[in-house]
Parts: sequence; structure tokens; C-alpha cells
Amino acid sequence: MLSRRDFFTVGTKKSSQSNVNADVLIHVFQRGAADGLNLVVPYGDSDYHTNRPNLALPPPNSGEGSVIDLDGFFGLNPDLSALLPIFENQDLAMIHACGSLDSDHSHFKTQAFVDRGTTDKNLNSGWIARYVNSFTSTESTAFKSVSMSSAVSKSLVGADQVVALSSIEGFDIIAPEQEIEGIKMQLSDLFSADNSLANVAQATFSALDQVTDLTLDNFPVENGAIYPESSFANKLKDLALLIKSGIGVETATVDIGGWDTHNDQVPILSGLAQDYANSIAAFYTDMGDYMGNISVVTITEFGRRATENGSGGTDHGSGNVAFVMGGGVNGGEVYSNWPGLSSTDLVGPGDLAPTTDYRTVIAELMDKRLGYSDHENLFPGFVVPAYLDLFKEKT
Amino acid sequence: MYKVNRRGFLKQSSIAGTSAFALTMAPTRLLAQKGFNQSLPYVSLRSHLLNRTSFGINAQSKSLYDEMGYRDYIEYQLNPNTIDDSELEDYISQFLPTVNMSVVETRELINNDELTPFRVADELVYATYLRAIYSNKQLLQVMVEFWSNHFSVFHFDGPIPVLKSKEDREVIRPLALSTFSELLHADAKSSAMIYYLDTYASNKEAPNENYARELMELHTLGVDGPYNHHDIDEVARCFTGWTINTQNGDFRYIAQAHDEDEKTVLGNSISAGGGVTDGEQVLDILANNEATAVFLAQKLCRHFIADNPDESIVESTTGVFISSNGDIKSCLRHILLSKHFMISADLKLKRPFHYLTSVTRSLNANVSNFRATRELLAALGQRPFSWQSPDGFPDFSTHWESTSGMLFRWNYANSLSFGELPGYNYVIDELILQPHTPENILSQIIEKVIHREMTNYDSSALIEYLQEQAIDNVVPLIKIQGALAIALGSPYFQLC
Repeated sequence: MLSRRDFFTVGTKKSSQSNVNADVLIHVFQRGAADGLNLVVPYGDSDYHTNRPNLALPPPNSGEGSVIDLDGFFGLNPDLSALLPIFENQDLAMIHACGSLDSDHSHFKTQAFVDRGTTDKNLNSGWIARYVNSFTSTESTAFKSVSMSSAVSKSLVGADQVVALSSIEGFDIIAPEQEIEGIKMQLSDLFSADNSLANVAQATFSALDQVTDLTLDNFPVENGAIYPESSFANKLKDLALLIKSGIGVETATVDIGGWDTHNDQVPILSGLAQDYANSIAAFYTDMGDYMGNISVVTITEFGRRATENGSGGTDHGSGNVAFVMGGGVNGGEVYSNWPGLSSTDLVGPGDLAPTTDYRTVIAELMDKRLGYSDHENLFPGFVVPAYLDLFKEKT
Repeated sequence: MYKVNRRGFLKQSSIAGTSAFALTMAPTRLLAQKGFNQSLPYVSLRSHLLNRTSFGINAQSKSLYDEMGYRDYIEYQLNPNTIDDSELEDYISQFLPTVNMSVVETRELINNDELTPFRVADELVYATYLRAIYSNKQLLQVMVEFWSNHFSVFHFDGPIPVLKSKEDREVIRPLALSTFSELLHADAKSSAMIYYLDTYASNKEAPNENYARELMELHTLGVDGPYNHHDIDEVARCFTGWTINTQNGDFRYIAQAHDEDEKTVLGNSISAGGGVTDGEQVLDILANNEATAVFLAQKLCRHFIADNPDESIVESTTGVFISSNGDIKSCLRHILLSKHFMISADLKLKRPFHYLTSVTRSLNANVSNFRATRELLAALGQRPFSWQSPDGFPDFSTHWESTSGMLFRWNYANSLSFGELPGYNYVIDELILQPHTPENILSQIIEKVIHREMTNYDSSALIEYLQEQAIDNVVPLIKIQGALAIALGSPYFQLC
């Protein structure tokens, strides 16, 4: 019988060369299920206000907390205002009522599904790992795929070459200062056999060596960008540094957590939205012209219930908003096949219907910006519908 | 672009090694068993057996082995009921009480806000970690880990934080060395598994095929086993009505939800009206299928011998599995006494959990705070019971080779050796006795820390390192700690 695991084998056929003319792919995962309805607000849908008597943000120009109009129907949460110049620059687009019918209301199950790109529990490699493994690297960099976290991000699990680091500063041998060099030298000698373990050890030393000159003194933050003080911002700042250093980053993952706002949502979401937007905007400014060759896609596992709950929060839902940013984005637009928010429009326990599968967004990005169209390898079993024309073909 | 080893050219000449242990093992390494390069000196049979049947070699396990010898040590470990662990278990009962608490009690404390599900989950992880380090029933702990992976459930799914402790206590531990059939039956009725693979959500109107599929693919026949989609449908029907008593987490059968019509599973007819015995018959059919014997023999050989064990040992283990009716002890005895096992040293990479526990056991470190451990295990990707999919943590070394993993292992060895890991301490003067001359330190590292010979080349390099700041041939403390860290981070200690 044909095993579902065979997908993995099918997916690992190697192309003969590295994917040279491709954008750097940055995957931002808002873990915990961000409330998309209050981030990019469908203020033109009257049911939005009915469903959320306490949490709904006021329409544009109606006093404190009003949303910033984007297109006459959607408005930007003012806590995301740092994203507005990028949107106006047409380098940022949002996709609303985005999600997947294959998700359910469990964070863990759905995050695992999104990370693997499939609901098949037996396929343990991440979707980005299957992409990078399709190419034989000619570069001798340890930093081809970077997971900005202490453990390898699940979407990169199984990648031939992947470095996990929560910060460049933290990616170092921990030992008393005067012993570090001696320990490194001894270990390097001890791992000199010709086998895979020694190769990993040597790759670790390469990575350690490669990061030693990577300091903000050598690669300063540019264009007057100001990163906020946060873990997410620090990761983006380090990632910017890695990319600018020319170390060879092709794909990267960055997480921002804490979006599970069941109770007292307003202050939590406000803080997170500001952190997200200010960090992303700082990265955009810092990278400057590099943004022409970078694609950033932000998704979360699922949306939140259309109606607010009894404790000033929202419960697990379905449809949500996704963000794509970069020089290759047909930006300045909110893409949406809006399903509506009336009780008859909602699905499941009262969720915004997902009318655009998030995989359609990523499939188009991978095709047009990274020249990779083996959708079956990324998302086994998912039939990609017509693209939304979110991206320009890379030239 | 890998560094060229500055003294690498010397290395070849020292491989032959003057190891005293070399004579204890037949030079049959050339047998076709794939794995890491055999570039390290021979490992004694004692160290090899203890590496594979425990969570790390320590002084106590070595002296037990020396007292008993190879065969008797195995027999001793195969009968854990004769081994005393009462001190450890008393400690666990006192400080990690939910490990031995009923589901009813645990739920009551949670409902009264005196406990959180996360705490319950953590206590089981800590207890698992403590048992791995301090239990005298080491082979039992190894097999508990093996079966926890074979019947893997994800700790953070719905009520599993509470149900898993019950499963660990009532199913996995007591039956880890029983027969496969007993274990399979008990696991099928375990509420953690019933929840995890959605059996509870299955009924005659809408049979859920999740458990049916994984039961055959992962628990018994294997992915290439002799079943088809029709069998999955039929097995799913057999298990309709199997659910959980939500009060106490026991198994519960609801006759009204059960499909009472006739079914056919792998060509066997299951008569109409069988009720709860339908599922039990399925378990018997699967436990007795030859494909199950092959699949389990493969997994056991992979765990104890090599990632890709030789066909012949898998075949003979399959034979033992069948003739002993799936007796787990008989299979282990067969594997551990086989030539294939005895020549398999260094073919496996310790998984993170094993690596951490073995460092702790070698240094005889005292663990008083588990937070650092939990975070390290999570960072290394092997917090027990937290593999999300039902196939369990991989038993292939390749999965565990990563730059971050390597760095974390080194940093763990460093932090612990230099005494900077919160909640861990060891007494260096008790481990490395005076006089602290380079030679005396090295010989103690070889004997008590890595438990194996080093090449002449590597020994001289470590001696050089130890000599760097020696005054009157006395090595300062920091260099002793550094040498421990290097030895523990080296392939000598990471491979097993």
C-alpha cells in the first residue's frame, strides 16, 4: 500500500543547483491565534459592531481608538499604525478571511498542521524544510536556514542545514571566558572523524566562527530604523544583521507569541499589535533596498470568534488576517473574498469563514518570488486554486 | 567549509589503540552494521551494555556489573520487582504527588485552583527524569521510555496532562516487561490514548478512523503491513462505543454507541453482537500477526543495536517474539546476548534525554531544581511526552544531529562541569581525587566519566590542555572542570 509517509520521499528529490535568484523567505508565526478581526478591522460590515459591543473599534475619524481607513471597508487598528507607510508604499498587503478548513480549534494541532503544511500527523518534516531540501546547497554557510529560536522551528524540522539561535549574542559556547578557546579547539579536534556527527560539530564551529564578526558595530541598524525593546524586535534585528552580512540566509522563521486573548483582550492585543507592527516596520526601514529581495509572510494558526465572550476576550475561531510584505508584493490592498459576519455567514461555533486558504498565499509567494512551484511537496494533498495575484513575478 | 584538523594527520596512526579492552571483544566489527565511523577505540562490553540498558553509566552500575557478570546483570535488570527503589519512590510521592494521584483527586485540586494541568504534566516529566537518573531499575526505565514512544501520546492535548499520569502508572510501567499483547490491550483501554487518537469521539453513526489507522500502522503491523483501507474502516467500527469515564479516567464501554453488525478484519470474521469483545478480538488478531512480530523486532533492534540493524538479528528476534507469544523479556534477552548487540558500540547517538541523564549520572550530580532541565529538554526537542504526532520521538540518530542541538549539548556539559547550572551540583573533589596531576586527572576522567579508552592522540591533547596552567604539576580547578566538559562533549560520550 502507498504510505502517506511516501510524500516525504517524493518531496526530497534534489534539484541540481541552489535556488539562486530567489527572495529570502521570512516566515513570521503569531502563535496563540491573533484576533485578526481587531487587527485589520472590517468596520464597513455592520455586523462587526453588533457582534462586539465592547471590543469593536470605532470606524475612521470617530474619536479615540478609531481605525485608520485602508479602503473604505477595512481599517487598520491604530496600534498597527507603523505599518501604514509600508502599506501606502505598496510593499504590504493583507489577506482577510484567510485560514484553512483543515484547521480545528486546538492550538497545538493547528500549529502542527501549519508547521508541517499538512494534517498528516505522520509527516514530521516542516514545509520550509521540504523546500530547502529540494536544493543541493553549493554555499558553505551554516546559515542557509535560520530558526530565530532556541529549538529548530517546526516548519524547518528536517532541513539538511539549519541553525537555531535565539540571539546572535546567545549563540556561543558557554564557559568561563578564558577557557572558551581551549574548549573549542579541543572539541574541534575530537570531532575530526569523517562522519555525520563530526560534520554537524564542524558546522556548529563554522556557525560559531561565522557569527563572531557579526556585531551591530560591523553591521549597524540603518536608515534611522528604531526597533522597540522586545524579544520579537531583537530577533528581527539579529535577522537583519545576518542578511546584511551576506552570510547566506535563504529562509528564516521568527515567532511572536501570546495572542491567545480569552480574557481582558484590549490591553494584551494592544501591546502585541504595537510590538508586532513597530518591529516589522523597523525591520523594513532597516533593510531598505534589501526589501526588493525579501518576502515576509505573517500567519497565525486560526482566527478568533466573531462575537466577543463574557470576559472581555474572544475564543478560538477560524478565518483571520495574514500579512505579506516585501518589494515583490502587489501591496496597498486588502485582499478578501469577504464572507460576512451575520449569524448565517458564520461557520462552526461562530467563526469568520475562511474563504482564502493560507496555503494559496504561500504557494503563490513560493512560485513567484522563489521560483518554486512543487506545491505538492510543500502542502501534500492540497490543490492550489487560482492565485490572488498578490505578488509580482521575480525578475 | 570545515576546519582542517591541525593534527589530524597524526590520528590514523593511533587508531589501533593500546586499549586493554580491545581483547575483551572479538574483532568482528567488520560485520555489516551501518552507523558512525568506527574510528574510536573499542568500548568494553561492560560500558557498552550499561550504555544501552541504562540512562548512563555510574559507579554503582559498574560495580553491580562486576559483581554479577554480563548474563546475570541482564537477568537482574529484567526482573525489576526484585530491585529496591523505595527511597526514590518515596521522594517522588512526597515532592511530585500528582504522579501517584488518582484522576478524581487531581481534578478536584485543579477545580479548586490548587493545581494546574501544566503542573501535573511537569511532575510526570520530572519523575521520569528522576527515575532515569536515580532508579536502580535502569532497564525498566529504558523500556518505559521505549513503550512511551511506541504508544506515544501528546502531553498537551485536551485532558491528557491529567490522563497521562494514570497511563504511565497503570499501563506503561507495570507492563513494560510483560508481553506485547498485554500492553497492547491495556493501552487500547487507556483514557490518554482513547482521547489522543479520538476513539472517544467514535460511534456507530460516525466511526472515527484515527485510532484504527494508527493502531495498525504504528502500534502493530507497521506502515507496510498487510492491511488496506477496508480494514481501517472495519477496525474503526469494532472500536465504536469505547470511551472514557470522564469522572475517573477509566475505560468505559457504551453499548448503544457500538456497531453490532458483523465485521471482517484482515480476513477474520468478527461475528455480529460481539459488543466490547469486537475490539478485543481485533487486538488479538493484530498482536498475533507475523507482521507485528517483524515490526516490533525491528523497533527493538533499532533501539538497542543500530539505526539500521542487520537483517539476520531482526529475523531471529522476530522468531523469538513469535515463539514466546510476544514476551518482551525473551526478546530483550535474545537481543542483548546476541553477537550483533555486542559489536554495536558507537553505532547510536545518545538522544538528548539520554545525553542529559548520562552526564548527570557520570558526574554523580545532585539535581534539586528541574526548571533548567525542563527548559533544556524542550530546547533540545525531547521533553518527554511532547512529541506531537503519534509516532513518538524518532529513534534514528540523524534526527538528532543539529548545530543547535550540538551547541546545547556542549553548553549543558560546560555549565554542569563548571558548576553553573542552576539546581545541579557535583563535588569535583569526590569525583576527581588528588593528586591533581594531568595524568592522574585524565586517567580518572577515562575511568569514571567517559568509561572508555581514548586514543593516544586524544589523551595527549587533553594532557596538554590540563598542563597549560599547572603549577608544580598541579592542575587548577578550572582546567579540571574544562577537561570534564570537553570529555563529556566529545564523541566518546555522545555516541553509545
